[in-house]
Amino acid sequence: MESPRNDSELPCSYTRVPDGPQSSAEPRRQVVKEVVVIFCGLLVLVSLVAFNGYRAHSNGHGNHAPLPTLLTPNPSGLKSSPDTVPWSMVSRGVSEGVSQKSSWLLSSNNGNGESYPWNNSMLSWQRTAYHFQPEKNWMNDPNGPMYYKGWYHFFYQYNPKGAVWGDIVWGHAVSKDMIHWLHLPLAMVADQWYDKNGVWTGSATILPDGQVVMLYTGSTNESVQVQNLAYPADPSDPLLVDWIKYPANPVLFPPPGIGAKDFRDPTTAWLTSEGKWRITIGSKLNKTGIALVYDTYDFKTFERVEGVLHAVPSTGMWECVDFFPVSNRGENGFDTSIKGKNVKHVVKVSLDDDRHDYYALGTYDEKNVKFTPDDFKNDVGIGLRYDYGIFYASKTFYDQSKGRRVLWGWIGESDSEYADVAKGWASVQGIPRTVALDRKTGRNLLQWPVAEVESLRLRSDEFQNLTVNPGSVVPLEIGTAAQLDIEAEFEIDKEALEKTSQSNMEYECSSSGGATERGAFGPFGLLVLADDHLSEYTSAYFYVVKGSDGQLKTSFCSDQSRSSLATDVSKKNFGSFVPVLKDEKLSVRILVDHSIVESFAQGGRTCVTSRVYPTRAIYGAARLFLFNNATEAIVNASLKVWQMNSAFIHPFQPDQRN
Amino acid sequence: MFCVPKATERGPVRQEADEFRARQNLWHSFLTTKGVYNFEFEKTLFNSIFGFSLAEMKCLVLIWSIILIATISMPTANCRVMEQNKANLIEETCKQTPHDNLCIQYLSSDPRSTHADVSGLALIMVDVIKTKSNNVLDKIQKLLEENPEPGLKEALSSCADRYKAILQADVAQAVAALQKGDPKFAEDGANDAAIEATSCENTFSGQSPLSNDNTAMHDLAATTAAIVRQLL
Repeated sequence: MESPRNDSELPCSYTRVPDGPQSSAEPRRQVVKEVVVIFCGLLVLVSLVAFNGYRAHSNGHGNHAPLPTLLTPNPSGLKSSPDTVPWSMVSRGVSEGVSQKSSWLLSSNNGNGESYPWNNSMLSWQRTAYHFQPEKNWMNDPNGPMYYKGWYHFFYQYNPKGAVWGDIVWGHAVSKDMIHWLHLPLAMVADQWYDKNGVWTGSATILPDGQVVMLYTGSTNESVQVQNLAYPADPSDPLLVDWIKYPANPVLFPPPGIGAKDFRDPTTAWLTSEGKWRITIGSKLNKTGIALVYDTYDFKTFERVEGVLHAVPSTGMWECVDFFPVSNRGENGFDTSIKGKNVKHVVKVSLDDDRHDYYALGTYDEKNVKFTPDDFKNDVGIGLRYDYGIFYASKTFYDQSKGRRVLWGWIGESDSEYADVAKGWASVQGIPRTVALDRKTGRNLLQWPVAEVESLRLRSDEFQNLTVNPGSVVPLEIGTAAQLDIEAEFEIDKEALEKTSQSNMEYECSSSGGATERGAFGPFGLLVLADDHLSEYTSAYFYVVKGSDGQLKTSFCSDQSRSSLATDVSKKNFGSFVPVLKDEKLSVRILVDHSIVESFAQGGRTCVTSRVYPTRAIYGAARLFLFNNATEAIVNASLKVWQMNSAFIHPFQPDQRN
Repeated sequence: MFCVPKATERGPVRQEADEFRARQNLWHSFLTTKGVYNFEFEKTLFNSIFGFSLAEMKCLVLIWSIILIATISMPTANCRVMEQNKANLIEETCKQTPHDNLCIQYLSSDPRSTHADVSGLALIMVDVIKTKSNNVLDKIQKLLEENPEPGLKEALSSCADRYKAILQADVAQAVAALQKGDPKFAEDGANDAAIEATSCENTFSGQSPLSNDNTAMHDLAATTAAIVRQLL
């Protein structure tokens, strides 16, 4: 109970009661007082309501202020001079939330910044002749690759409705040789609640008795990521056209502590010593990428194995995890379940954060379910990449017919989506590559196009011991130059190497000036998809630096900065350091197939895939050149160039069963 | 004043009435000595009916009204806390974009933002891209109806194609990606919208009639991409 005279608690104004005689004024004062009482009461109510309203208003709720006046572009940035940047936007890079794609504009260093009109001729040229792609629309991750009853099977993420990512289902194709593909009907569509929002990536396991089991991720009708089981409707059909989804799907839900949208891409299973099948599924905890492990006997019920197979902080979500053994001894691949002394293991992840595929070599401790990388400084997600260009969501399988491990990788577009919609398709797959341990270095894998691609080789042109002086460009007369298989070797003259002084420079393809930035011993290599006037060219080159210890350090780059006059395509320079051992010549294999260029340096130690969209260096106008833009090195080059046939990938015809 | 709100106390009515009666009596005596107020009439009337005086009745009514308002205010106060949190989410999210003021403006002016998580905020921005693209297409249409000279006409048509691509490709892909749960494709879509806007701007050899729109789209796209990046 409080004194009525405690004015400080009054939420309303208080009319001081006047002293003095009150005789005749009394009745009027009575009325006034009543009014005051009611007024004060109302003020109490109003102030409370207004107080709420004020707080709400200051938080922006119900704030309908007009949008701010728009900024004007940097007036000096547009059109006019050749060296100015078209836009005022400064690229902050991935770390500040601006993705790589928006930084294309800065690296465009061609002419007047005018937008290049795409015509049908240019767009239709971009379609590849011997790389896997569906007849139209969007494709992404490779799924469930395997060899079964005489056929290589390939499934893939596909949007039947357009040239962008969207309602994803499983496409399907088969081939006898992984090169000549035949399109089959869609294997699985989004017809269940548990994959309504997407029939996403998965892997195949072939059991010892020949049964095929497919595990894949479904995005449910509520966009929860679950794992599902599917198997062929008719195992005796070598084409495996029809598939059945296990009626009691899903077989796995996101476990406690794992986000509903952080649980996808189950791997091929491998046998444990206890006779259980083990799989791993990528995920993340905050920003630590992890690989969860599950065991099963029947692929229908799973038990979570405590802990994780591996984890690396700050790498973000691990997509498309792959885990497989490689041989320490021979060049053969291994079945995923193999164990033994001459076995090393590889963990590979696709990082959602930067769209790159990383791998690490290490040892697998089956008892403790732990993978330990050989080199923590180059752990998964921070060390080596399969490919330093455009290559994502890759997946290997063991080809039991030839005893090799084969790698598939999704090669997305790096042009504008306007062009993708106009041309009606987006994405190709890389040429399948064999994967094996590099026994000479012991620290990296080697990737090489499968031998079957050589069946596409038509006539060849050979060039032996060409001397390419500093600052020269040598045209190679080979005829048409859009479908090529090139094997080249380079040697820098010893004299130049010895007499030139050392440099402390650390060369990085992505931050360099590409083929036009001259150094003592680089760049030199090839210009593919070039036109006669070199207004467009894609350079694939070596850049050698003599380090402070006298040791040579070599980088290999695939430079798109001059690949096209168009301004709405990526102009990046991709590549990396490549190990070159004593007495090795510099060697590179390049597959050119219209809008894709795949380069394999030093036998596949460093691989770079590029997508290029020239506007002039197309059809009969495409040329091939040797170049040497170094200042000191005289380069000796020998190469063989094959014309490549088309693979004539087409829909399966019934009479093609044999 | 006799009615200082002690609203949270919910004793039985009679107990409160007793207290007020006591306070009332104190106040009565105070006022009566001051010759200000005479409760006698009301006292008699209401005492006979309810056992309260008019003043007490008014007081009680006022007290209960205040209790009622306060009770209603409590959840509103919670709402205020929630709104504060949502406003904080918008602020936190926009801080990590290249145009944070723009970001806050766009998001705050959409009522859906009060109940949205980061993914929802991204969808709101994609919707803004969609609206702005449609606006630009309308503007281009009007400019084309003015019968411009061939160079300008071609550039405008080319721009229309670019903005159609933003709608058909970028917006479609971004919405699907955010709804289905694979946000990196939404980031790609948003970044591409910036490229399309730039391409449109670059088609004009003279002065571009769409500079402001293209800049706005570019900035909007970059902001959207930055929000999506926070989902990765």
